[in-house]
Amino acid sequence: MSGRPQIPMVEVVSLIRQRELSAGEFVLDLFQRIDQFDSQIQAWVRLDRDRARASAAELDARAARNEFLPLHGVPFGVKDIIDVAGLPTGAGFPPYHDRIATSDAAIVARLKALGAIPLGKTHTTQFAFSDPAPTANPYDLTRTPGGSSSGSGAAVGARMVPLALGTQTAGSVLRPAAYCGAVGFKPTFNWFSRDGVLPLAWSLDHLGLITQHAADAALVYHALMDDRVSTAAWAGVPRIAVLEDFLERTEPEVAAHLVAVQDRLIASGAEVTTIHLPLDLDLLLAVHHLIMQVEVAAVHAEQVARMRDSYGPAIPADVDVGQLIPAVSDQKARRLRGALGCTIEALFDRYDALLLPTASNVAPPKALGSTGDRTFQAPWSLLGTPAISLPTGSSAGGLPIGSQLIGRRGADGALLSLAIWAESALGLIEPPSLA
Amino acid sequence: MQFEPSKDSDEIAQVLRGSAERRYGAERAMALESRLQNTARWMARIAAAPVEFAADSPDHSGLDGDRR
Repeated sequence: MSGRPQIPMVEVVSLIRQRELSAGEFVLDLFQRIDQFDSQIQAWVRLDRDRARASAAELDARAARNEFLPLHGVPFGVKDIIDVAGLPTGAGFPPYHDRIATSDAAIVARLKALGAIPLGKTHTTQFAFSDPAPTANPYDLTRTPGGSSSGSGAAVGARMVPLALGTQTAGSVLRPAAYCGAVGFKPTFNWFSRDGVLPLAWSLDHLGLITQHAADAALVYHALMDDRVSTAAWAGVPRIAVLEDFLERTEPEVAAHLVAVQDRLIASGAEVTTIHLPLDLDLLLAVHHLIMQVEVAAVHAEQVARMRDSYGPAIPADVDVGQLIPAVSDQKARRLRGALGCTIEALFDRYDALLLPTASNVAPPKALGSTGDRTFQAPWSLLGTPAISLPTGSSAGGLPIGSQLIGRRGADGALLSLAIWAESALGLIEPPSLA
Repeated sequence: MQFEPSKDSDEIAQVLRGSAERRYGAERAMALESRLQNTARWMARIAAAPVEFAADSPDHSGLDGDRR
């Protein structure tokens, strides 16, 4: 089999532009890799082979005329709560398995217009909540890939595709990326349109990107933002604050890894300071969890009333409890969110980014029935700040460990530039050995 | 139903449990027990947190003005 699925997306685009690789060849390579390994990993709900091949042929014809698009020939996977015209948006919910989308979600339409090629739909936990998908972790098939963007994380981690779309309401882009050895990026809240994406909790839902490299995420982000946001190389000394509050809640091996990451960043020229959050982390988490529970209840209550038996256990239970929460508690939580956001915002007057482990642990065993710990990602979904997870190392057992950088709201381009700098300072982990 | 900031999570859990039993029946309420306790802890933490009387309304928390 060709080694091309391992090539960074930035290089793929360059090779296609130089006509050293065709979109058709690359798509074929990826389908071969999916055919070889997806029976073990189950990252994909369904593939859209014919249309992907047709799109690739069309792009190759344009390339022959010397017409290139910014993401010319970049294949991507789409989490199965995001609409792709002509395919079901199944959401891991049996009654939706034949619910065919009549148009593309805004982000899918935009990526297609930029020259990217959807290969198919990737598995999600049910409605992007917590009842697990069938997907396995490509680094260890007995482990969870994380969730809720389980298939997107596993597909990119397994080098089946260089880009996949995910969504994050608590930690559902960054955590699966970290558990699967990929890069996970979520922009500032609402910077990617959510039109055509099934909601879970309106004021928390973010669309995000899962890629193999930080530069790949920057390339896609830059294209999606119409070049309005600079993702130039980082200039100057990065000022990074390590958040001690999270290290205190981290499993020892992951905490030791973050200390090593910190040392490597200092050795590469960063100014790294360890700080405590100027707020109560438990309050931050309580505000996130309560708002999410209320909004999940509001989104799903009517459908749960009609179709309770079709759901897994998690959403109906959260709907039941969410409906008991007094409005005054919900409103207080939302007022606190504003105040907490201002407190975090002030940190960015002194630091370019905040650093913490992406998750408190490595991917837990699938048998536990959980997609992992959302605690380290949820605060940034609550506050709408941009966040990126980099695969910065591996555990003694060979499982990926991710480190997470948080940027100032609206400073997504700067965060991506810093992430590219950090990735070059920290190096990459080996892809999984699939047999 | 209102909770004073001084009420701790056990008291809030008791109120939530009572509401769940009335609304869903005893069996379904029992199955919700761990979730009820978690939610009560969050509510207690939120109730105890001070917020400026004149602080922004929830509609001005900063999250709503960013649509691109």
